[in-house]
Amino acid sequence: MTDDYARTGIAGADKILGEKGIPRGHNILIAGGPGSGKTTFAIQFLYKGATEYNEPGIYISLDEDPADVKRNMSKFGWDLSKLEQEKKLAFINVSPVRVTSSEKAGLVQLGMKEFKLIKLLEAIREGIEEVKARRVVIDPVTFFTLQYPDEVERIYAMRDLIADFRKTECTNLLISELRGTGLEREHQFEEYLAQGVILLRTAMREDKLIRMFQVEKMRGLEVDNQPRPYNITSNGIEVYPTLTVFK
Amino acid sequence: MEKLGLSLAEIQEIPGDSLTLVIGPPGAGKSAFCHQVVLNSIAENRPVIFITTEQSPSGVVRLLTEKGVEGAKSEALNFIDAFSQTVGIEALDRPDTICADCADLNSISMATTRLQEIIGQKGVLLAFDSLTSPYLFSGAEVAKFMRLFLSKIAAEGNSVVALMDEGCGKSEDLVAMMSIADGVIRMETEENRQLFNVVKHPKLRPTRVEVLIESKVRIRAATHFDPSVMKRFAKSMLENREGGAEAVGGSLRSIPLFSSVSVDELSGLSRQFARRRYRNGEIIFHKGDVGSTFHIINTGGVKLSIPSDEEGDVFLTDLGPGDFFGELALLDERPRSATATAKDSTETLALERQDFLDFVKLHPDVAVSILAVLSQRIRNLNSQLKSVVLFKPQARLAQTLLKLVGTHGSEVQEGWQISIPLTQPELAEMVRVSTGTIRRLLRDFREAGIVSMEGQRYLIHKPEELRRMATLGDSPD
Repeated sequence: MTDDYARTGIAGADKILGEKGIPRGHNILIAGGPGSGKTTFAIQFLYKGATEYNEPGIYISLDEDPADVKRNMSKFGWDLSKLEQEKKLAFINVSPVRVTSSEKAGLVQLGMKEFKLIKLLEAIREGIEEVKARRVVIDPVTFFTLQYPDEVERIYAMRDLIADFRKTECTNLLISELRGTGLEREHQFEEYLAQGVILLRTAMREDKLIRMFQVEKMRGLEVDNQPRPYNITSNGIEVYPTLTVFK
Repeated sequence: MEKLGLSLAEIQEIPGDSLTLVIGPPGAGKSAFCHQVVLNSIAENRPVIFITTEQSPSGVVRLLTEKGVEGAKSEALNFIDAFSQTVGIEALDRPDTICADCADLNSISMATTRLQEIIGQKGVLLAFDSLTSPYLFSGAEVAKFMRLFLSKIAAEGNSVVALMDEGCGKSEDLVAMMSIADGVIRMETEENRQLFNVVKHPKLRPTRVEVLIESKVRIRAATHFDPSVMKRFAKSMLENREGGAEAVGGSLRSIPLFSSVSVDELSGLSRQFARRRYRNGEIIFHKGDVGSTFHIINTGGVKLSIPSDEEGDVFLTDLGPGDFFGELALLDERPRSATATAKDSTETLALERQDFLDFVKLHPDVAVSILAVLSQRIRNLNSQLKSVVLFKPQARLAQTLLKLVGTHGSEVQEGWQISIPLTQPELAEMVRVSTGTIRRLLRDFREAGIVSMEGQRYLIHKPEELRRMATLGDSPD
């Protein structure tokens, strides 16, 4: 049974996920505002997979330099370079392709458009092959979709990406910026396409930041849909599945 | 000391599986009350989670120990520091202290949950001092916090006590908080007394307890403690499950001195008491002896007196069941100040100095009771001294007989019968004259028709004449 699920390795999150984890092979959108800990959550998922569940993973960076990510994550005591050497973890940097472009439509760089999806999928396949990955993180998937100025095109591109991901049989976390914070927020089309959505929401109460972890959707699993408080501590993300969020 | 309905000790016991809210205006003594509850818990080796929003953990520890840092090392005491971060000072206190932000209820609930996991056992005391600060930041959300978090902690098998100032927020919020709590104690200070109004309680009937203001000081005084004392007592409590000790505990229960001490603690204490039996007339200790035993009379009676070569013994006082003696030498470690003699077949419960001091440190109520009795004894001595200095033996005998009429007199045809038998030496002691003098005085009284005697029974014929003689204020001859 447990083999049908990929445990996040974050005790509180796994409890919310019915003491099981994320259904294996599913594409899960991790959406959160800036500083909400999306990357931390995703890296923790990969780190725990590699160290505790014998599931190698790949991290595909579309924005940040993987070296920066590794450095940032070392504060949680996760030695990612070592895992990389042991071939339990691979970092794929597709961010440099962006800089080759010169043409712009508004803020969106058009130069990557024609090869991005193919290039991305190729890179992912290679990465999966290299470490025999069972977990994949794309951070942030929004970067990929935003290059398509037309929304319909964007949705298609995203659907293609997700469809292709399914073939890998990996458990995939797609990191996305969350637009709108607090209780009201916009639903993003990625949410409809993904099989699961985990929100790392933040709200301001007076001048205090309140963090909420919420599994909004998780196809094929009974989950607790209520927002629960979470914290980013020196051990990574800690979710408190039995607590109510106070404002 | 009289027990007024509930004792303070009973109120200080926060029942398990319940959330008690202590409310009152600032300065009513809520924190001191909370500290006492915490100390009681530590004494029982029961883990405490202390959420402090009003001062740093080290400040609380200082108040709890005052004399040193031993308390800070108590393993049972765990802090959530919701003060330092909020006011922007660095929390340097203890490495194991978990920090939270009192402006963010989530950080408090998360910190508490983490600490619970670390402690890993139920039956914890959660003390929240106080909800006022979070209320200032979060308003009515605090009521929700009580309902959804503190009540949940209580329901998991823990005791929760939370403090809240009255008058700092909307009254409907306070009412909401009171209705959420399983127990509500409203504290007030009024002139020389402190009022504990038990508005509701999961186990006790609503009641009101008044404590003289000294006891407010006393509660603070109780915050000096030595964990080794606590440990010893906790140990003795755990060990004490035997019948013999229980029986002594039963005797202790009836002693007013211990009315504020819980049955459990008494059975713990009873283990340290030794039963001592004395024959009628047997000397328990002599004036000048080096002694370190404190006695409580269980059955029989004891006479305290000071021997004097010239006029026979100077009688100090008679004590009966429930009375105690021997406390002076215990306190100042000097030789006995008086001789104690069993007046009957007497049994005392004797406690050694160190156990006595340890117990009194733990039970300030008892210390205050002892002080009250000591004060009464000093007053009695003063009035006896005054009587000896100011009045002739004749006047003193008249006063003594009048007193006896007042306490043991019953009206009969010929006058007033004193119902207790008194020997002449006993009467001599009470009047502080020699037996020779008393024999002469009684003869004079009899000849004047004031008194008649039949064996050891005295009949007062002319109380008005005694009254006149009693006020003769000439210096003694």
